[in-house]
Amino acid sequence: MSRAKSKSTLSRIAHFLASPEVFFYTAIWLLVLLVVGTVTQKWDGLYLAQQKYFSSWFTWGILPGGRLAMTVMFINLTFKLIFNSPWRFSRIGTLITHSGMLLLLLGGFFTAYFSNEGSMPIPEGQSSSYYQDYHELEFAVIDKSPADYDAVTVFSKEYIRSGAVISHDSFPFSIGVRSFYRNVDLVQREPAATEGFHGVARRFKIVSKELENEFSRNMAGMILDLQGLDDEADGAYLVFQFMQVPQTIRAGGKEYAIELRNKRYQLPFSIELIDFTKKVHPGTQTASHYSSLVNVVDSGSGLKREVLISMNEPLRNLDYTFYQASFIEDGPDETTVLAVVQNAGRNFPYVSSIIMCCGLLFHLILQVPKLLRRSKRA
Amino acid sequence: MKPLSIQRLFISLVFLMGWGAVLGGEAYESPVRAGAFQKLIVQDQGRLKPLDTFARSQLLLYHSKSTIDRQKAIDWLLELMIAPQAAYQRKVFKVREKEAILGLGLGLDPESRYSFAELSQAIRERQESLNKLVEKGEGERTRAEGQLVTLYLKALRYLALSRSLTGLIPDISVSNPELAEAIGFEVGKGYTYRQFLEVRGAMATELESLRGRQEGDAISPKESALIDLVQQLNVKLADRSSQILKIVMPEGEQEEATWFAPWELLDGRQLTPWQLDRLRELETIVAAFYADGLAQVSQEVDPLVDAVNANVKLKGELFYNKANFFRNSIVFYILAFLLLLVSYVFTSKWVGRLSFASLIVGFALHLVGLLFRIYIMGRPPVSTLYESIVFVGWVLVLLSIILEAVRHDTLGLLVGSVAGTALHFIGFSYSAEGDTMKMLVAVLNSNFWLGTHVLTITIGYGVALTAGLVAHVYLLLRLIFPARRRWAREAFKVSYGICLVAVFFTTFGTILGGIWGDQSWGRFWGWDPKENGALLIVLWLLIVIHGRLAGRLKELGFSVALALTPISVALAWFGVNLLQVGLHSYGFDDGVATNLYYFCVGEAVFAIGSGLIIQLRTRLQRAPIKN
Repeated sequence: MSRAKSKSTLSRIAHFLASPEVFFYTAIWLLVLLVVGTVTQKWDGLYLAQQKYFSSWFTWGILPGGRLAMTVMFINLTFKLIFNSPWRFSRIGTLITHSGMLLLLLGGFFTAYFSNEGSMPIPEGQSSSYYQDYHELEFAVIDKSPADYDAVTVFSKEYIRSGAVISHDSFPFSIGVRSFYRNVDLVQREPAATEGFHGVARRFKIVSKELENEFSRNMAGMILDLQGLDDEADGAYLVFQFMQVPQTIRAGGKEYAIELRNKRYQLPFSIELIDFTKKVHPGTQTASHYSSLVNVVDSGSGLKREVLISMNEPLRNLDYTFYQASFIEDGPDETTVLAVVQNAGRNFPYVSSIIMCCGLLFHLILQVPKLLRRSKRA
Repeated sequence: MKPLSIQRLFISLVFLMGWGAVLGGEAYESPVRAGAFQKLIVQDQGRLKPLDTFARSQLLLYHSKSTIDRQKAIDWLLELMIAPQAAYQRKVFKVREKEAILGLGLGLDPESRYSFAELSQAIRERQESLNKLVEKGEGERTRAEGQLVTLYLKALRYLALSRSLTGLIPDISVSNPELAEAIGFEVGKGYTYRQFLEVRGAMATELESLRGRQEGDAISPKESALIDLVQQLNVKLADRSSQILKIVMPEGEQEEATWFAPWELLDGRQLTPWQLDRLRELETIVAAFYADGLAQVSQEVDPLVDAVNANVKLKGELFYNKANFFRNSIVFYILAFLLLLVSYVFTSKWVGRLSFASLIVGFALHLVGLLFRIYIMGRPPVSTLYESIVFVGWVLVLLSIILEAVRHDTLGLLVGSVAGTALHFIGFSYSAEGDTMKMLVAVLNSNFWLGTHVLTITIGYGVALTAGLVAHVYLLLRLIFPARRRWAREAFKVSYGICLVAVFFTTFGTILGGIWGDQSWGRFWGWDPKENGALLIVLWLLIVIHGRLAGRLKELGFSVALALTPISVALAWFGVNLLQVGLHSYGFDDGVATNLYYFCVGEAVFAIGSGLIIQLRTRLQRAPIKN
């Protein structure tokens, strides 16, 4: 007792933070989150469940979420490695394993904060130089007047909410967000509205509805209040995701398009789809293999490099990786859908799995024979 | 001396039971002998397979068993296709859904077995309302309606299957000599629909003479025969949608290209010489069976079938089907268990060794079966649920044998014989889905990742289950032999060791799964149910181990927690699939959900209950000492 007392409070805290008990209780909590977060995917879909239980600091108000739980584990592991790792031969295996785990959690952190992912549909014969986020939205004002390029001003998700005001020096009008809904149905107005409604809003209105299980199927919609347009066209406008033809307006003698769309990430190069091929198991509709033959086109020099992207064989260029994700068949026209990932943490699991594998093997070789053998005198 | 003779009697009884199951398997009484017919190759569900496998999976679909009344599936199929009228009377349909049977207005059969004749009669009377039900969306049907539609579609499929070869059966004859001469056929001899297609030019000329006839005009016998013939051919033509049996080999690339059903080629198209040759070969084989009233015609048919066949790999599959490795392996597992019980009763080392030998024989058969599957499919044996069950069973027995070889104290024998038997039984129930060798969707179709991630995680399931089973043994030992603490302590030690091995395989397998995800679609971890399932096992094992390290779990607490591990394995393995398929789907998965539920509840009650009893008993024993 006296020895424990003589230790400073700081050392006692450090000792507690390094103890397996912290892991024991945190892991139990993570297990609860894991079960709840998996089962609710049945109703909420993967994206929402992940946001609520795994990628959150807190869930159900004040209870710790997955991210907090894993952070606690990370701290626990760090303290364990510093303060609670006796350097004995018999412990080498566990030491190596725990270091590997630390790396894995660190990689998770990098992935959570420094990675982007999205999809990139390219029709055969065409090319694209951006990919779009699966879920996150952006609002774009596009000045179409320059002859050889479009001047695009983009507003991120903070502006996409009811009551926000969108304005910028690059365009002479202001946009007030009357209402924003994450998932809407488009309903025809009968008869068409005349007073105060413009563009698509004259013939259509949007009705909010429940979120889809598959989050990317949701179609977001906004009702906007535009002020400062030419020709007395001020008033209510309607934009929604996946609009075939963007809403155009005139202000200051120039034409602009306004769009609510999936957030776009520009690539420093473009990709051109030469040919998409799909193979099926003979006599069935089950795909056995699909692949895209593409050109990677350097933006500066225009140099082309031909690459085949197929299932399990992605294309890596600069920081980006392109995977064969899906395809759209529309009669004779084929469109490939590539998944694009830019991830600073992507090498961590590779390194850490090797480390953990070695560590665990070491531990097993040292410990298991002893445990399985019959005790003496048996 | 007396105990010894009883012992002998017991052992010989056990042996008789065991060998009886091996030897008494395949006897059957049937007029049909398909023989070489089973070697013919068909394309089904994306791969080439012997007709034997096709027949088994088809029969499973309707009968829930791969034999019927001790008759082989291939004999059933042959009878169905060559002599359907007799086959329609057989009670092939096993229908457990009572609502569907009552919905058809049929009486309930005590064995839930119905013949196609019964069903088709009932269906014909309700054709319209059934068609309306089919048109109804899947979500709008009630459960009973859904079952009714399933049964209806099944019956239609059965009908189509039975008509697969009708275009090649020589059962149309021309009795009028004039007409026969005009189209170049022999009078009274049976010809096939295909052969009539060959002479359709001559037929057309004959039909030309009928044109412009009015009602009531005189008709010559030849013309009357012609009308009769055309009617017969039209009746045949109604079978042309029967295109399930893809048995006609295409020219050139046979593995990759799509094969044809006979009726596909009989739609009046211009046949290539290759196609014509293949159809003629088939026709000869069918004719041999047809002419001989389905009796043994092997000698006649054998060389023909061999000529049609050239694919070596399928021979392995025929042998695999016939050898029934897993059924034979379970016999030895059961035998090992019974012998083990005998050795406990009579404390006989000799019988214990015999039990070990039996376990090893069962294991060897199990292994050979797995190797055959690898050879036939050309991929690791872990890609479908059925395969993983068989493989996990094998891993369990392997570990048990190692355990027994190291310890010689029957712990391994007990775990191995029980686990091997149980998993084989679960496997058999899954094989009732049909062909167990299925082709895979593109993303899974990678031997590298099947061989690394899936193999590792499946081994992990097996090791984790073994650890859980040994923990069960620990709890049982403490319940039944409270005085023998040393036995229990040994079991605890072993379970801890196996638990560490389980952590290795499940952790590594889970991370490899993440790496596969990163390689194939760009993210290491996405919290989807399958990944979470694997993580569930890892987390649980880590909790158990760290609880022990932290002193939160003592020997008993550790064992109770470890005995709960099979729940996490079952949830990851089966529960996750249920989540994806949907908890409200009909039929098969309902059964899985119920079984899973009872398994989890049972395990929880056993582990926690026995833990509490042991705890309570120890306290009560300690109490008087204190005073």
